[in-house]
Amino acid sequence: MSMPVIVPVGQKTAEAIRERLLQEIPKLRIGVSTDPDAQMGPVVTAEHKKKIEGYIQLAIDEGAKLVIDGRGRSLPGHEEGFFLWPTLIDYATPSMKSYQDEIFGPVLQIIRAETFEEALSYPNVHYQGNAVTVFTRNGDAAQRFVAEVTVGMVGVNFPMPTPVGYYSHGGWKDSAFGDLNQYGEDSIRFFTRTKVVTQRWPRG
Amino acid sequence: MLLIVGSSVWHHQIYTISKEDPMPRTISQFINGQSVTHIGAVTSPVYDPSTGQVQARLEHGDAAILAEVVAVAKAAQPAWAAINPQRRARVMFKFKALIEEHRQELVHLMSSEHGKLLDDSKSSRTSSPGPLAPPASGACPCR
Repeated sequence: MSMPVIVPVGQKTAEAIRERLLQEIPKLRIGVSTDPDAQMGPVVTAEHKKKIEGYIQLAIDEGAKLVIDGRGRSLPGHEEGFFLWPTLIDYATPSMKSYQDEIFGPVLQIIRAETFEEALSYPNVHYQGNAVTVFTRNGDAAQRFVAEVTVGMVGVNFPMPTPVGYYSHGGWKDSAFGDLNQYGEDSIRFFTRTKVVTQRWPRG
Repeated sequence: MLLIVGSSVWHHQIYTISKEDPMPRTISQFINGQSVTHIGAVTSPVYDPSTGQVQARLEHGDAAILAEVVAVAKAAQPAWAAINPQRRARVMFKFKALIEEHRQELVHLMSSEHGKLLDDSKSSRTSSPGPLAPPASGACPCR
């Protein structure tokens, strides 16, 4: 959720997905972290909540359309908690600050693309590249996306492509820190200093 | 105080430990098998995001503490390296077992400090064990 963006290809897909989101987002239940029926908890600090609200305003100021506003509500009994409800923004563009930065909050932006190439270009021109997923029934499009996208963790029809612990976890570009990623074989390498021994034992 | 780290801006309310203050729980450095509180250390508040209240203060390290930790680790390393890999692996698996044994406690701590739902904390505990957790078959993924 560091910066959730949906890039529908073609207006028909964009409208269909927007309709579904309009139906589903209001059903999300926000609650305290120990609430077993909650689907999302609070954000981490009051400052961070303000920062997220600032990005929502910035997206509107830069010309995106606010579809669902998650600001300005509080959870009964927990008025002091750092709660935000989900926000949906449509018609965002890759040049907007809300796309350039990582928001780290419940703000979903729709950036519409006309073609596969245009959609692929959005993650590829971004200076970061942690995780991305392609949703399609077209195997060729999926293969091309996996091969050409410059992002470290890629999903195909799978929403959260963060692999289990024995694979590496980490992005490309500015989403990578140091020479190695986290977990998996890279974590063994991090703690290992290699030594190469070249030897012969001639007979006699 | 405003700390600027890369492109992210972190607001820290800086607080200095003194002996007189009635304090919430302090999360201090864990060095050489024990918690060590440094009088005068800078701290930042740890909130419970669900209530908005400060539940603890996190003690910051500094260059001297880092040097101490590195010295302790360096002193321990030769003896650790001399232990055969199977025995070293046992220690790591014991660590894994302890995490599993205290899973509920860890999950509640994580959620109370971060705000994420208990289920989300549970999945961070099981998806990010690094090389410690073997797959379900029991085979060690480490080579």
